[in-house]
Amino acid sequence: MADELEELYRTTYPTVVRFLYRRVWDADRAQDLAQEVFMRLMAHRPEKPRAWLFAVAANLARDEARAAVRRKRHLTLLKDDPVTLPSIQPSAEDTVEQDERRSKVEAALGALTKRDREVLLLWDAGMSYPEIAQQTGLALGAVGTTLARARKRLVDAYDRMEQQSRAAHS
Amino acid sequence: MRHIPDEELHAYLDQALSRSQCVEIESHLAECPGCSALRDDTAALRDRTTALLARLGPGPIVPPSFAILSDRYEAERRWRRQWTVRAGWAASLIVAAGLGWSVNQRVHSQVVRLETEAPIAVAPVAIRPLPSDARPSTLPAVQTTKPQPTRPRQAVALREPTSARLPVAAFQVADESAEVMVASYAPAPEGTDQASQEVFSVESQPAVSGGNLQGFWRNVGVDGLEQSTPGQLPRVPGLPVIQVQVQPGEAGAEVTAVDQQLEDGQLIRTIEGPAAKVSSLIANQEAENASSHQPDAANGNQPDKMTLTLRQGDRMLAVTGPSKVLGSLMISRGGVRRRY
Repeated sequence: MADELEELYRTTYPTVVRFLYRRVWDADRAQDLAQEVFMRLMAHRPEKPRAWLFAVAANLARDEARAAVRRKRHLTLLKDDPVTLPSIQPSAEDTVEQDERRSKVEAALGALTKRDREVLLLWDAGMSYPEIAQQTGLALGAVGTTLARARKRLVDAYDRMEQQSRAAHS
Repeated sequence: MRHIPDEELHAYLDQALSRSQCVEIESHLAECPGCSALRDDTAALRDRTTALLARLGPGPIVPPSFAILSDRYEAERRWRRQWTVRAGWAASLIVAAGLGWSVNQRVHSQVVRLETEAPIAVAPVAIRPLPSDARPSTLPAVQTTKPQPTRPRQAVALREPTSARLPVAAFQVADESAEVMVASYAPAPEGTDQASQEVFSVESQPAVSGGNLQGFWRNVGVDGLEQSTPGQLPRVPGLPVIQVQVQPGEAGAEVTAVDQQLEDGQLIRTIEGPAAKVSSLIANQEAENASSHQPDAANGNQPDKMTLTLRQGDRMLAVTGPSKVLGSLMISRGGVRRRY
């Protein structure tokens, strides 16, 4: 059992971190949450560990996002600034162009509905259609429809931002 | 011929369809250029989405060692177990403290109700000295605001409701004619047992007063004692206090003796304290009295002093003085009114 857990940890940990990162937009925090997810896995030992991992990760990310919004709102009240969702802080190594692209993807992802974003990120994390259906409560047949819509909207939103950016530069 | 819907193409590319569905779609794609072009577009969209999302990656991820994670898990589990035990103890202590406080409040409220709400009928009765053969049939009866229990009251005395000690103003000698104030005790509330309804028991016996008290006694000032415990000095109101002695003891176990002087110069001694101690002191006084007044007793003369004791629970008040004065105290006992 311990070996199975270790193998699951080794193969799934990066995916879970990536999944969490796209929800909390903080690499360190995503790693902390991922470790928390695996520690809960050790305590609960579920029958379907992979699906369980992403379900718990999604819940933790949701709690984290709520806490972040509360913190931001509190700061906003103190500073009298408008409320904005947490965004990626560009690192020193990233070029300006990379930062812009990343910001656009993030903004495009934020333009999706909550359900579309959830399904898209779960699929990107490697979850199967039945696992996505189980976690989101969607019918199995609706997963493909939602995923098709989410992909299209994401790319459309990104292209629209690219055009606006080009127009602004020209 | 049925063309392939968009969502089905996504599911096909995501390998989410059964083998038979895949075979059916592939055979259609081979024959339908429109669906085939749509499949290519869908594949491009899928790849582009993957590429876009890949830009949002947090960079290279190196998972920490599984052993580290296991150790951390074990440490956290131990900490949670200890915390649970400690929390359980804390909760138990809080519950115990709450129960104790609740019981204390209940007992306190009952005591306060007894002391404040239960009517304490104070019925002052002016008693004139009567011939010894006269019956005090004309004297007003002791009044109470509640019907007394069927059991006859054994004693009557003034009491101070807020005092934890025995009634201080047990007697009041107004003048030389030995007027005595008599009050009834508060009837016990319904539901209490019969024994607890007896608040005081009163007895009288010949005695001697003014002698030396046995044991270690400390003289204290009257004023200081009155200020520290106002209204609790056991004494006969209206008479000058000439000496106050205290026999030290634990809290509530000290014995107080107060000597007062009548107008004719005779002494009245009031002793208040735990019943056992006061009884012992009175017994010693009796022994002393028996040895020093043997001739009088042999001649059949009545001693001129007597001791009147009032007992409430484990507390006792004993008043020793001239029988003429103390004898005017009227008590109702056994349904027969007697005068001493």
